[in-house]
Amino acid sequence: MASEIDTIKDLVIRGKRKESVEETRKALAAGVDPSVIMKDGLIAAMSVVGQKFSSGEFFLPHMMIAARAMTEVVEVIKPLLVGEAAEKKGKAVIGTVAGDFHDIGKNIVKMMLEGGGYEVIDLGVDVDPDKFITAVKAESPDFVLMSALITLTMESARRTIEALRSAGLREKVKVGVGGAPLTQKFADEIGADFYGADAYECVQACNRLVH
Amino acid sequence: MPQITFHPDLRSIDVRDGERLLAAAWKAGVGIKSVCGGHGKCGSCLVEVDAAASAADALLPPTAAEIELLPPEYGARGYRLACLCDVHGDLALSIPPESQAVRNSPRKPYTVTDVTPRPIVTRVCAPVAGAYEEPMRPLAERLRTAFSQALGRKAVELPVGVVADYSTLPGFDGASEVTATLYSERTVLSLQPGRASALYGLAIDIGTTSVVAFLCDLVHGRIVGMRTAGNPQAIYGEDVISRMTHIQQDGAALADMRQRLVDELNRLIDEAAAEAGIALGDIVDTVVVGNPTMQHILLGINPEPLGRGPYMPVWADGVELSAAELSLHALPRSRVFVFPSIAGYIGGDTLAALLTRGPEFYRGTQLLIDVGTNGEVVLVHDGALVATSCATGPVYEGAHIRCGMRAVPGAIERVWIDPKGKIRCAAIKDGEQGTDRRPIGLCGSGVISSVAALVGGGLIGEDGGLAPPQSHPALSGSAHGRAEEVTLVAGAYSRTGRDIVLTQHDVRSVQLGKSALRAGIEILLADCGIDKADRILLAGTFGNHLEPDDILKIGLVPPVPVERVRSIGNAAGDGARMALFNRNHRRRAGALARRVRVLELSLRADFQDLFVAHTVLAPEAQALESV
Repeated sequence: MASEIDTIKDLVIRGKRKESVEETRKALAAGVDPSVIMKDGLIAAMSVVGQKFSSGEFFLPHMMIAARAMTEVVEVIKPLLVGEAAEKKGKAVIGTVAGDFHDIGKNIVKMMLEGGGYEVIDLGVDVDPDKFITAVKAESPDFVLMSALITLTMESARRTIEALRSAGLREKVKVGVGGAPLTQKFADEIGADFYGADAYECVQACNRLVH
Repeated sequence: MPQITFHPDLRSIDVRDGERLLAAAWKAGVGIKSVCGGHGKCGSCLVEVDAAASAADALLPPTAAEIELLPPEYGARGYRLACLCDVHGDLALSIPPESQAVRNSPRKPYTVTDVTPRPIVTRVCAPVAGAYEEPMRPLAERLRTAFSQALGRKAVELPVGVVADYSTLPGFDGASEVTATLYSERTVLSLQPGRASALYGLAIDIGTTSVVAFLCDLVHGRIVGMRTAGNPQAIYGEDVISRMTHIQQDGAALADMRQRLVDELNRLIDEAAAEAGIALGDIVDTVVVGNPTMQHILLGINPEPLGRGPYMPVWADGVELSAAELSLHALPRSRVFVFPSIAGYIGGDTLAALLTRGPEFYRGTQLLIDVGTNGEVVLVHDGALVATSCATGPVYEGAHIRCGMRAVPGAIERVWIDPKGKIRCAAIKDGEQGTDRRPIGLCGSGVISSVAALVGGGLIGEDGGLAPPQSHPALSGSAHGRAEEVTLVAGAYSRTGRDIVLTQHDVRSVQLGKSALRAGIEILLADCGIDKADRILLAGTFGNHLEPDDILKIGLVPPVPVERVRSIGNAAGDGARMALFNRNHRRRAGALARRVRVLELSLRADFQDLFVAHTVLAPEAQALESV
């Protein structure tokens, strides 16, 4: 069993979408517990991919294809998860901030979170504070995650946090921000709960804060 | 009140206690390079503190954030980052060459285009009836009659202000011949006694990095002077986004940027006119092109909406103002034509570049590419024009690169590997004898050239990863079995005494810039239902200094035979001059602006995959599945 899981993990890391799904199906047919595939296959793969990206060994294409492979495997095993394993780790509402259309980073975060066992409500691009508020009211998420890729749109993240505060929702969610021009300092300044330098850091922060 | 003294010119300023060092330097007009616009992100605003001449407590020790951004060899030598230091006491410092904001950027070459002058401003000399001639009439009426007859039309518009100015000239009342400067053969801009026929005009190209002014003889259709300088707004950051951010944060910044720009333009005009021996009053027409942000700032319009989606300009029409309204040094009533823009990131400069293309351009399938901090691409196919802009990032200006710098003397512009496998570099020379020829860093074309050469030599893989350190002596550092940087020039041979390197991170920046441009091009091609272009034209300074082989090798542009990649020089400046010399081109510019269809990449679902797939440093993208 361990070798099957390792194969899946390895294929996901290498972004082999079809093969990952095939291996997963085979493993399931052989009676492997889907929750183990999730934990020791996908979540473990995600952490390897995240580290390789942080260290510079992996670049966008590797990250993207690994995240996609991960998403497809999640689709296969999701219906089979039962009991505790079927429960989502947490729920996140995610989007790029008002005025920002750059969504590659956000899409990778989304896929990595799903691979990590989270439910993700994707609000897409150019999401103004009101849209975040509406989603928070409707979905009661654990996290609100925002990304900005232009210096000028960073301020939109501040506006969303202020809007959450005025709507009395700020204490109900943890807010995470990310994107090339952002810094930990800026995140502190606007009152976010955390800053993720890359997708993997974001998932780690969610894992830390969700309990 | 603490005082800052800047070496070597010993300029000194008083600052408020606790004032940010970078902000204080900007106020003093001291140019310090700041790639990120003072946000503590890029580490480019290095200053060298003279501890002996400074108060002990002038600056607090560096914070963790500053230490992280300071290259280790700098921190140890007393360097600080101006955007992260507050001044609390008297301070003396110098700005090392690599962090000096470049003020004079001489590399804006131009090509001479044959034109038939047909200026919109003309001078007409006409005999004016004397005061005693019957019927006796006021001077203004006699002038009006004289010019109406000379022009063979019913009426000329003669504003009272023009007559007022004329009435202060010696001999105005007795002149038997008067010369009128006329706009569009209808409106009098100025009057002078006697005969005059010389007509001069200005064509101005305002780039984010540098500005260039051409002083032209409108009668003979020639350039009589050219001046260029760095854009003085650089003190607010090197790219348009940094400048917009300053405007967003400080209401007074817009007016200051406009003023600095106008002052610098006036300095260029004064110098060019003085050198050519031309009176400012003989400069009777001006055409300005620039990117949309620069045009907004010149017009005093807040450019901030250009910085965020959906990137809509506040103003996009071509517009005419008087030189006086813009405070530009030319005949005060003369007009200044500011070009129309096509879209938020496709401005009058792109339009002017298009204007230079003759009918043969429209017959083929061709790409016109202008690469800077932002890349503008226009595709012509079947006579239709489609354009887009790509966020290439500042890598092509040599910024955000560890050893990056502007294209000035000392910058490496070409890199190759010799037959023995040794890395060789050529730097820009300043032409003066006896100056230090040692390289300082890499300009944009040097960055591209080095990446192309290193990929060719196997030091960088097509996926952008550096090879293992043991595979070449220039590779050093090691993370996960791969090198972390390539030494292009050892410290012993560089002017700074430090190694000139290309880092893994630099290569990643090149990949992002490359794929942004290439993905944009691919979307334009796909939108026209084609998969390749016949020819590629490169506009702008950057295009002049690129080796077509290099950009084809790393896939910055789609594959074409190398002889079909051609630089067309400062096409924006050429187009501005065409519009200056010939009034018809101004109308053509307006018509062209309406004819270009714009694609907004960020709204395209297919952009993401193309962008990711084209990060490879190869002529063709790799299918994502096979990475």
